[in-house]
Amino acid sequence: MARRPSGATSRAPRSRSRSRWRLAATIRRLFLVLVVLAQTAAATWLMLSVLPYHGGNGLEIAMTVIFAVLFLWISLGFWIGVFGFWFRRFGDRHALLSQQSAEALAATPLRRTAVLLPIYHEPIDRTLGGLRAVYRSLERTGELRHFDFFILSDSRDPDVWLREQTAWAELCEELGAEGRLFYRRRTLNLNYKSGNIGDFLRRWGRQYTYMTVLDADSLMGGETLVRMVQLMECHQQVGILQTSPSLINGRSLFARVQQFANQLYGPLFTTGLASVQLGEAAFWGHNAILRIEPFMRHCGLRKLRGWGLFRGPVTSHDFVEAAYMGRAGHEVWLEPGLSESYEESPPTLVDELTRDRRWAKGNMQHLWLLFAGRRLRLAHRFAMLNGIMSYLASPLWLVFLILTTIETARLVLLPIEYFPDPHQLYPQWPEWRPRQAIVLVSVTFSLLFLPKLLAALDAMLRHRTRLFGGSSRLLGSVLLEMLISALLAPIRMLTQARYVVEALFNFTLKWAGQNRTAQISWGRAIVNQALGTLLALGWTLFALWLDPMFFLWSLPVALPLIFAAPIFVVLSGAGPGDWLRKRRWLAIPEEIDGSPLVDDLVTGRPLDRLDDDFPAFCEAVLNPRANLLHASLARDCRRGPRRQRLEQLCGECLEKGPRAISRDDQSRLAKDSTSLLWLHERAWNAAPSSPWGRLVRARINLG
Amino acid sequence: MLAVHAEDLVPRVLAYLAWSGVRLTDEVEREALLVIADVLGTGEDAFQSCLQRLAPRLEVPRSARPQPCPPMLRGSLGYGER
Repeated sequence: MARRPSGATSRAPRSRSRSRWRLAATIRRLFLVLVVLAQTAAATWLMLSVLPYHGGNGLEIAMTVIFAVLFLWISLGFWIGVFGFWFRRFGDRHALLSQQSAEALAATPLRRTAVLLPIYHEPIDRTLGGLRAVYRSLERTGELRHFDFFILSDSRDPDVWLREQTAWAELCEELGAEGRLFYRRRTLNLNYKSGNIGDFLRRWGRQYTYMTVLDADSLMGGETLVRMVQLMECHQQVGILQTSPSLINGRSLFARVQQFANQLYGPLFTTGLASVQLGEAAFWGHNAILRIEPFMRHCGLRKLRGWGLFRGPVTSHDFVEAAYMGRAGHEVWLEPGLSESYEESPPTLVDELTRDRRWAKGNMQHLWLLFAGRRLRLAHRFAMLNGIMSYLASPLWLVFLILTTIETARLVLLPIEYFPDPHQLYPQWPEWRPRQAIVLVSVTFSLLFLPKLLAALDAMLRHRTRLFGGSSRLLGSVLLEMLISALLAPIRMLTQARYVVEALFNFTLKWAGQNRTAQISWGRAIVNQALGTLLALGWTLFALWLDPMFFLWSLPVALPLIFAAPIFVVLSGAGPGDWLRKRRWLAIPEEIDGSPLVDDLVTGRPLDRLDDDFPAFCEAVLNPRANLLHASLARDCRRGPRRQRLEQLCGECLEKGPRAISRDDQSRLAKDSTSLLWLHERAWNAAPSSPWGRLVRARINLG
Repeated sequence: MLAVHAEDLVPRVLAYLAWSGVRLTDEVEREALLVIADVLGTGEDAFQSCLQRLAPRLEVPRSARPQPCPPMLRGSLGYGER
């Protein structure tokens, strides 16, 4: 008989609890919609009064519409922050963590849970080191026996996946985790990360009640994982429970700004978001726990059947899975009260923008599901719209700037048309109201920056300023973050606008190569940002020629774009970041008080110990222990026509050396146990002057 | 192996033993050198012969080969549409 969780309630109280949060959610959402619409209507009216013809022509109507959409967006963010401030001050009795006592939660028995780490060409030391820290943290809770760990690799490059296999075996030995820590590499990559998880579920999903999905840079505390399983056991109607990950381990100035903002403002916004979403929250793809049985039953992702972008596999799966879980009648909760859930920021703006390209495409793809998805809950459709707008806002802002420039040029260069309508009796005078324009800009900026100040106030009221370096450093850091985020906004806008256009028209605009190294060189930054810099320079010179006042208005957008290259270089450097860290600027709680979980990650023994210059394939052939390990993980692939091909490849590899065959062919050989063992024996017996003989000598010299 | 010289064979055999997990004590090295001396000039496949002769004399630790995956329990993914 299935074990009933001690905290599980009967059907009647559960449905009462569900209707209570639904009522609260409805009231909160109605209030939110009301204040956002009222604020947007007032700002739009102000905007109309600022425009010279007060919306009297097509151009001004278009400007007003775009302004209204963008302002609505900003207003929504502002009110979510205000909600967050309120509920952090006064508590939210509808939050999942508030629905039972801590004692009842702690007494809830656990069920079998799989901790999944899907990876694809990730840095091995960080990813497996993170998993080691999670494992040790769970070990400290005494509840490790309920958890199994799966490294789910999609890596294709043999130099990467052979290193992964070696590091996994060493990790098993180090932790004594044999039979609890598993490694599986897909031979056929289908449907990105969701396909990788789906493959796990088809093979082993039925053995577990829950799965926790980690990202390559995730870190989660054992206590948190245990509490998440207990919460899921207490609330059987919950399908997905999402934590709010905090950013850590940033070194570059860019990463430190991101993690400071995330740790100081994040709790405010996620609390606000959770208070409005309640049981209809979104899934962010990682640092969350999922109930496997309904997930397997309801969350398979069909390929989209539209055209262009809207055809093929869903690339951004998490929001869709949450929506499907909601459609099946299960709840999805975001619980910001669950601490010790971490991830890392991209080290540079270039890395972030590279990620944005994928995310922009994934979010635009949701347009299809937003309109064509059947029986999805309104809240989940809104979550998709939220994701879409977070990227669509950029091209809208760009179009607004273009329309503003056209409007100014028309007023300056063309004669004023006093009778645009041939039947009007009185002339229409253009009016300029600079005072109202200043009010409008001030209101907009207030909405953008006030929630940040509220977050600082929240930290002061909770006596948490020490964790951010003290009151004065906290306020200084907030101002520095505001300055840097204002500098980054136009750069992000231009790049994201391009990504949205690429996504919607399903093509790639070649601009400049991406740089994924932590430090960006000057030359690379200049080339990367050249087009944006030239566009901004041309625009601002045109503005100067048109009207000095318009020139001044253009500067907050144009200057960051003109100086994008130096901004990229300064922000990507670890030097300024380290300098600020020593002085406790942009500090975060984990840096001030430390954290055993983070310390485990930072101080752990390296797992990828192979020399970078010595390919993992050669190590797999030459090192007797590595060879035995990889051969035991490989299969016998010598069936049918593949046998001849593998024998031929073995011969070529032995005679001409590993560099003479392609990476794909190296992968083929490393996947075949017979080939690995055969090459091992022959390579060690090779003549000293042969390619393998030289490699043996080189390897011996490396030690 | 062609054109075998002691200068190639000695480091190869010792490296192979070390990477197999054998602790290279004075005694082990002496044993290895004696075997190499025996094999040199015999015309045999020198490296392979050395290993074959050394195998019964040395204790080679078992290398770790953890179980990569638990037993499979097949399931399927549904689309939850009615």
